[in-house]
Amino acid sequence: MSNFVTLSTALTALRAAQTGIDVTSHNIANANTAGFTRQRVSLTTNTPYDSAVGPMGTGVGVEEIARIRDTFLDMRLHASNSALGSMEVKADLLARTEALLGEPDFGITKELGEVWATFDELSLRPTDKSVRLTVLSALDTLASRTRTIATSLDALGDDVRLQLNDSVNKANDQIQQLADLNKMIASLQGNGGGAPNDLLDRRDLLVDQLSRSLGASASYAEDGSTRLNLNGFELVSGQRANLLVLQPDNSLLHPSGSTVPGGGRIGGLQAFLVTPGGLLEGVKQQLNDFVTELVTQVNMQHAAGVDLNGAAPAAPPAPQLLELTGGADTLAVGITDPDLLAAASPGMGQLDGSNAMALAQLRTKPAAVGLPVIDEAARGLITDLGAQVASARRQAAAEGGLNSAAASARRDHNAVSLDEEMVGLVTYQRSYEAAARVATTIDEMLQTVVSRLGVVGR
Amino acid sequence: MRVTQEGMVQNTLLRLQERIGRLDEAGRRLSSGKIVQVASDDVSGMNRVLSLRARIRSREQEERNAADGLTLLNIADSKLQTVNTRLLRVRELTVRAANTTDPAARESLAKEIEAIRDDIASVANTSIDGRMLFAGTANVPQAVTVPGFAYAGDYNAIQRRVSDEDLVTVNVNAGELFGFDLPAGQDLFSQLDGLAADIRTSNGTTVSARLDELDAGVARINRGLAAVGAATNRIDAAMVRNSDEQLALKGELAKVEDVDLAEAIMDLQTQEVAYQATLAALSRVLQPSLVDFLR
Repeated sequence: MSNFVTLSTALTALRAAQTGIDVTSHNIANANTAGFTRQRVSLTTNTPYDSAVGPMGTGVGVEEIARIRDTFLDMRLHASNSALGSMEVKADLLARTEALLGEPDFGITKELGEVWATFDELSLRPTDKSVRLTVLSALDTLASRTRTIATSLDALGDDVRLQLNDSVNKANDQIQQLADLNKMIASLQGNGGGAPNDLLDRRDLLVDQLSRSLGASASYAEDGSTRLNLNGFELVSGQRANLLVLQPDNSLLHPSGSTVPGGGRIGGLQAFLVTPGGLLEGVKQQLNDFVTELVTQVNMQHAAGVDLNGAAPAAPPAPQLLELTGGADTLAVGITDPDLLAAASPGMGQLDGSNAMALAQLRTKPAAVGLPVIDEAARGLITDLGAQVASARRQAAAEGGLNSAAASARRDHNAVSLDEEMVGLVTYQRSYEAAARVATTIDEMLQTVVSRLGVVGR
Repeated sequence: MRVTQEGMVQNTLLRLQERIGRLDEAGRRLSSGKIVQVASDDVSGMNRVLSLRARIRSREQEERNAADGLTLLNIADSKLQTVNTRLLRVRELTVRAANTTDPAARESLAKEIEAIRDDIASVANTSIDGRMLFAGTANVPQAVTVPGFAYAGDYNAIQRRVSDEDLVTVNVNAGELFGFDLPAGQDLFSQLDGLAADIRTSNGTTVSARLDELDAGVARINRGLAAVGAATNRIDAAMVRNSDEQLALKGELAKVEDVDLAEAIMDLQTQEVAYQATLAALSRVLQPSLVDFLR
């Protein structure tokens, strides 16, 4: 056994302690880095050699610097991310839609109430021109309020479409980055080095983001590369990225030629926009149905009366009291001459207001048996949407609870604990000091051998 | 279980978010004064709010309708009372005329009856807001044309809506009041003309015979008064019901929609304290670290 061997054993201990301190300081430096996974030095004994007294240890070696990460926790979080992303977006967009309706203070129901009241007022003073003008202006206010709501629903749709486009571009960007990272990781590992932990962290962060934005999920290949899947379609395999193309109908086209259903936030945006069956379309449809019903019943009742000249209102295609040429955004008042308002019933004098009264009664009494009550239809429109918003919010909140549990379980496992690192720092510092002491001891022993030995009698 | 700084910060931040969210909601409720601000806050609550508001708006309009009807009825009532008094005076004059033979006295009696006839015609032509009160639904300048004394109106009812279903007729027309619906010559004005002529030219018996016609005319006016009175009663009752209902509806709306101020203030204060407590906990939790104790 040689003193020189022991010196090199002390050297391995110094190096191991140094590596430990390096890794610890890297952990501390990245304590707040998004997606960072704490790293640990794993040490192993060096191969012993055959000494005279049997196998003798030759110190310590650094086996690897490992990430403390659990793929199972990742996958649990990714699944929840996708569901949460889509529900959050749905709840948010529905709430924006609800705000556009402006109920109860600035919405359709208030203007509708004014229309019924002015019809009643007309029944009191059928020949009064100013009352007739008030009726037309109340109808006009209702029509313009309805048009505003309808067009702002369209504008919201355009807005969301832009948002969807941005999200898809960003997701594509991240898909490409993921493929590039796969390539870098493969080349580093191919060169015989250990796992490039920090690149793996960056890759996993991208998967996190893509699971939230697109609902993608990852699986890990034997060679350490990540496969990214979306509902059974491959987005990243090794170094190849399959970028998605947003189609005019808001679906996503995969390079394989098929349409991929999106998940996560993008899936939520799609669910809002998609036609047929999308959330926005549903609201617009309900609004259109309501407006059609309003126009039908008001015109039907109006046509049953006669105007100030005793003439019945002209049948279509002549302009009717309310005109609807398309969706709710085309609602308009068709009559401009107040004298043409049919306040009276046929066969009655000019001062008869019974048809105006019947118009006012449309509030609670449909124009014909079997038709819906207009006020109830308006309320139905608002409460249906409200119920959708409330339910989407509840679902998002429930999924949010699951998600934060999954996230915190993973964080507890992955994240840097400064206390732990401090303990590590102290430990490695002490072992460094001890190893240095060993080296000093050997040095002193060698000093004895070199300078003191054989000086007897000199 | 392993606890990390990041985990602690994230968890506390989450709680802080939740707290400040509740604080914000409590503040919004207090500042707006409304529990239900959008339908998604409380779907069935919003349904009640909208329905109650629509009903209140309708009741307010019905109150106006009823008040308008009541005005028409009150004027009609006082005008018909006047006609009744005038007709009693005619009866008195007729009796006096039957008992006198002095042509000068008879002439002056006939003159007074003609003046009363014109009076009644002007009552029949009472206008309110520029329209004839007794001409049905016809929009004519005079209900009874002067001169000529013919009815220019129609026999249609004018109705006022005093509740969702309740329609009250608020007019009586001069046609029925003065007998224009009877065969020609039997209306009140022709009869008064005939009476004046008889007083001038005929004997007491002929004049007395006219008294029956007069009584029939008074009875017609009384029927009109009865109709007006009945309609007035219906409207009065409807107005009482209406104001009761408005009170009840508004009370209910307040219950569904409005914030209980005391409760809202308490809630805001509670949320504020809870938020501050969370902040304090956060500052305590994040302070200490092993770093502080290593040298």
